[in-house]
This record gives sequence, C-alpha cells and structure tokens, in this order.
Amino acid sequence: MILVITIQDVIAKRKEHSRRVDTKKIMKVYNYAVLHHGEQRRNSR
Amino acid sequence: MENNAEIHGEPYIVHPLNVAYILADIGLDDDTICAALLHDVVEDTDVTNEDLQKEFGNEIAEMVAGVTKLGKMQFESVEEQQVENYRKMFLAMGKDIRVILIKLADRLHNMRTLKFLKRDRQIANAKETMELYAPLANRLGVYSLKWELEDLAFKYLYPEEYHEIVEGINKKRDERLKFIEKIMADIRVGLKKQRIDAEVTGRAKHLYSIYRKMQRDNKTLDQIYDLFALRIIVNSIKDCYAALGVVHEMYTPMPGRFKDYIAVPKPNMYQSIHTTLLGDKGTPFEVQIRTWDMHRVAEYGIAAHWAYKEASYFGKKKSVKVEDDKLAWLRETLEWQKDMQDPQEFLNTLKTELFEDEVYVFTPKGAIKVLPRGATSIDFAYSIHEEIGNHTVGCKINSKMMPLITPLNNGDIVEIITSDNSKGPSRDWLKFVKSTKAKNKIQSWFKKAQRTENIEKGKDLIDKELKRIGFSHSDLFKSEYIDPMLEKYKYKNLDEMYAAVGFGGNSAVKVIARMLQEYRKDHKEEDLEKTIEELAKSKPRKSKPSSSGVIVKGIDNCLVKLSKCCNPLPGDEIVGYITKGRGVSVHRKDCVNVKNLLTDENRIIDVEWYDESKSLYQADIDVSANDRKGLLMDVLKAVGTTKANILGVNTRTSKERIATIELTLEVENLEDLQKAQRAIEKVDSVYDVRRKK
Repeated sequence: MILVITIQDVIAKRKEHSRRVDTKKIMKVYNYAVLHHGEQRRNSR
Repeated sequence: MENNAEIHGEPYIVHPLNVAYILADIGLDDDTICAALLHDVVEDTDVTNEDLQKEFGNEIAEMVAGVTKLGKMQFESVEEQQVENYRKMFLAMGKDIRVILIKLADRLHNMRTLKFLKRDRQIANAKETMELYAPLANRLGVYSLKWELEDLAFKYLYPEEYHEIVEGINKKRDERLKFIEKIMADIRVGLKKQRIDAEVTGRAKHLYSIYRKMQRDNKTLDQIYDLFALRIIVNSIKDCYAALGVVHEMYTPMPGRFKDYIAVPKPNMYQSIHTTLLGDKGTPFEVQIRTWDMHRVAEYGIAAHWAYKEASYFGKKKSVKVEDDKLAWLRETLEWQKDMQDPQEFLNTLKTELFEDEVYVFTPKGAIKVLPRGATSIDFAYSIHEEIGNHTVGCKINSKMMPLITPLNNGDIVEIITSDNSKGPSRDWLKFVKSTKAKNKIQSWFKKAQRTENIEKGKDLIDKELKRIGFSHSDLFKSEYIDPMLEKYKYKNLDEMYAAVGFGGNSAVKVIARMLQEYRKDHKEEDLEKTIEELAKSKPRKSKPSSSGVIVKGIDNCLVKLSKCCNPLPGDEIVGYITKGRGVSVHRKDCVNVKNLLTDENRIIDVEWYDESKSLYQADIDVSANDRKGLLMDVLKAVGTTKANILGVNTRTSKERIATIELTLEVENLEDLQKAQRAIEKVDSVYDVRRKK
C-alpha cells in the first residue's frame, strides 16, 4: 500500500517547523504546477 | 493522506508533491517548497523561466533554473576516478545549496518509485545515487536523506545481497527487539534515578551500512552485533556525559569502541557520543547519546540551519545550536553569518559560487578536467597532453566551433581539433592561457623547437645592444665578465644565454648590463671624465641645439642621437646617456632600457628639447583590432585626417582573428602623435592603440 501525499500534507508538515507559513503562496504555486503539468502522467523515464 | 493510489501512470503532480513533502519534513522554507513544486515545470511543459520569474519572483525562478541545469548533467559517462570532481562540479553548478537539496529530494522520490523502470535504468540511477547523491547528502550532513538513498541504491545494485540481509535481520528481529527493549527499560530507570530527563529509543542499523561493515570486516550477519541499537536524547551536553556515566556503570563498555563526536565533531556537523556495551551473556549493543539540537543536525545537517534561523527570528524557542564552523568541507566557500537576524539575509549568503576559482569541463568521453577560472580550450588541450596542445588548430565547445580563446564554463564539453601540419603554438596564446601548465608548455615549445633560430636571434640582439651602447664584442666578451653573468642567470654556456635572449626569456639589455657591472670594476671613472672633457673642449659655453632638436645642458655641438629603441618626440620627457665614443644617446624617461642605464648615474646627463625645432620625428605605434574587411584602409584614412605622415605599415592577423597593425609615423611632436592615436581609436573594431616603448 502506497501513501499518497497531498498539498495539505505538505503544508501541515511545513507548519510543524514554522508558525509563519505563506499558505496562499504555496497553494498558488501548487495550482500553477497542476495546471501546467495538466494530463501528464508519471511513466518510466 | 489518501490511500491506495497507483504509482505507475499516476498524475505527474504526485512527484513534485512528494519532493516538496520531503523538503518540508527537513524544515526548509516556503520558497524552497515552492521551487520543489515547480521543479519540473520548465523542463516538461511550455512554461519558461521568464514566466516563473513574472509569476513568483527571482528567488523561486532561479532555484528552478538551477535544478533544471543540474538535471542535464550526464553522470553515466563519468569515469571512476573522476567522481569526486563530478561532485564538485555538481555543487559549483548548483550555486545555491537549496538547489542541491531539492535535487536530493527529487532523487529520493525517484528511487522510492524505481521499480517501474527497466532494469538497465534502475542500475544506472542506482549507481548515480550511490556515487553522487548519497555522498553529497552525507557531506551536507542530511543523514535522513543519505541513508535512505544508500539503502535504495543498494537494493537495486546488489539485489541478492540486499535481500539476504533483509531476511537475516527479519529472522533475528523478534529476538533482538526483546533484548533491546529490556535494555531500554533498564536504562530509562537508571537515568530517572539520576534525574536525567531523556528519551530512549531503539534504532535499526541501515542495510547498506550493515553490508559495508560485513565487507570491510569480513564478517557474517551473525557477527554484526549492532543491527539494533539505542539512542539516548537529552537536553544538554552536560546531560550527555552524565548519561554516559550511567550506562557505563550499568554495563561493561567494550574497549576501543568509544567515540566522542561531541568534543570532536565530524566535518559535516555531526555530533554524538558512540559507545558499545556488553549486555546479558556478553551480547554487545551500541548506544548513541546526543542532545535534541544535535539530533536535529544529525538528521537534517545543513538544512537544520533554516529551522534555527527561522525559529529565532520569529521568536519561537527552539534552540538548534549549529556550530557554524563545523562544516569544514564547505567552510572555505560558504559565509555563515552568525549574527544575522533576518532569515532572508541569511538565505542570501547561501547563494554563493562554490569553488569559484575553478571551472569544471568535460572531454568528449566524459572525463572531467579542472582548470583555473577563465581558462580556454588551449588550457584544456595542454591539460590532456603537451602534444595535443602543441598541435591544436581549433576547438568545439558543446559541439559548436568556437575561437580558441573563448573562456570555458562549468559543464562545457570541449573537443580539441589537432593537425600534424600545425606549425606549433602561437606566441599570442601566452596572452590568453590561464593555467601554469599551458604557459610552461608553450614557452618550452618555443625554447626547444626553435633553439638554433633563437641562438642566432639572440646573438643578433646582443650585437645590436653592444653597438647601441658603444661597445665591441671583444670589450665585454671576456671570461671575467661572462662567467658572473652566466652564474646569475644559471646558464650553462653562452649558447643557452643566446637562446634565452632569442626566444624572449631574457633581454639583451639585462645580460649586457650584468657584464658591464664587472667591466666597470676594472675600468674606473677616468674614461668618463675624459669623455665629458672631450665633449666640452673648445666649445663656446652657449648651448645650441643639435640637429636632432635636443640641447645637451652644458655641452655644445656634441653628437646627439635619438635612441631607436624608444624614438623620443618633442613633448616626451627625456634623459641623455653618455655613450662610449658615440656621443649622447637620448631616451624617453619611460623607455624600457632607461632603468638599466640609470644604474650608472655618472653617465646620465640632462637634456631638453629645443622649443623652436621644426624637425620631423619617427614614432612607432601598434594598433590591435578584431580583424574585418576594410580595417587597414579605415586606419590609414584616420591617420590621413591628422598631421602625421605614414612612413611604414606592417600587418598580421592571428589564428584568433586578432589583427595587429604596426605603423611608423612621422610627426613634429608628441601632441601630433597623440592626435593620430585618438583618430585611430575611433575606427570601428579597433580596441587598443599603443605607442611602442
């Protein structure tokens, strides 16, 4: 069984180390990456 | 977290998410997390780096660019003995430590999902991980990444050995766990009695570490006693040593198995006390003792610094004490600012060029050459072999024909083109090479290959100098004058001296000057006074100018010659030198030969220009330019717009397309010459105009 990481997990982990996390910025970047990677799949490289 | 997702064929975003998570886990900042999320966007989509700059700013965009650049490096072709250089090149190209950390996290996630690749790719990736990434993680002290990278690489490189160890450990697991848990419980009691606040945990030795130990010490798995071990984490250094005292009292320490990395930390900042003890029935087990601060650094290495700086800046009490000067390997290149308050300022100090004095380039076969910063393909050629350097006629950099003098950049692939018909190196190369080896080899070539020519040339130069100062060969070339000169310059014989003068390794002026030194010991000042008297005899005491336009103070109508070595002009500051039998020789005060002449103060005489002289004088200038069609015509036209007259022209163009035009001009004075020079400087592609000294 493989655990899948979500952006919320990333932000939560970040917050374990710092009280001041720019959640908005991270979400903006994440959405940008999702948009541009689009339908790409992670196949063999 | 969501469960049960398929990895193969999963949405691509899963990978950057995992990379970002790994970096968040080791405490890196928001910008690094963002760069991790974007790290494949430029390479795999239509997004450009400029787009990222506009959207998210320079910081994030530069990190993404750095990761992209590192991703293009080809490790597979690197030979074994080159690997350390490759690591350095990797760091040098990374520029920002956070780029390296993103790359490490990227590699870690790729290794975690390597099973979906074909076997040959698995092996290639695993090899690169074991030889490049894991050692880098180790150097940076990020053990939490290092051990997992190693173990995963081990799994794919040595699958049989890996599974053997996994099975062997699993067999013993229950037995060992029972053993360790009992010891842990006993130690907790012991520490509590001494009022030491501590956390006691078990830890498993990593698989590749076990394998390495078995290979190194020629042991079987059964003989490795610290497969499982303990870790005691306390609040202070004082408590570390107190805890050590407790465990040493409870159990017998094994001799020779004690290491204090707190007192003497490892270069990558690692600090702990290691001790091996004997439990029931003499079964050994290892104990590590450290503080919470040290634990964080041990796990996260250089990344631990972020947590400290951010924590202290935002007022959170989380005292991660990182001794800045412990990172010996990077110490010379990174500037740790201990008193820095602003984490942003601190982060900026990490953006520094590592190994900035060197440049790392590849041969076509993937060997790495380390050269001085600014080195050219000529340096590269000589770094491979002297004969290659001597027969170089051209080069390709990254498959493109480029001038030989092009400075090389990190990661360039350089190919040298040679020819058997090559006439050898050019003297111009000495102006461009940066490495000592190249300089020495080029000079050596000129010295050896043209020895006969150099000897003849040297003899000629010596004769000219003798003539200039009014001495004959037989005056000076006596053994009592020759021997001290040969000794001074360490020449074995006269031919060696002539050859050195001929190829430019020494000057005729210096050589003669040394011989003159001995000569003058034998010949006192009477000659000089006699000469001056003769010059002054039967002349009216009024100074009149010579035909050269120069007045010799106190002496009239003596022979005055303008020296050909510097061609003084009215307007130049001048000095006179009384020669033997050839009157007064007039030099410019900045003439290269004047220094030697000034050593003999008695022969120096004041001279000055006669203001009303209308003579014309010769001056030589060198014009340097990037060669082009019509260059010479334009230069001559430019001179034509001034009062200068052209007496002679000589041109040559080097292999690197640098044109040198030697002009002999006729002018009335220095001002006219300078006007001509300024006119030439304005000509397109001319970059230097110099008067010959």
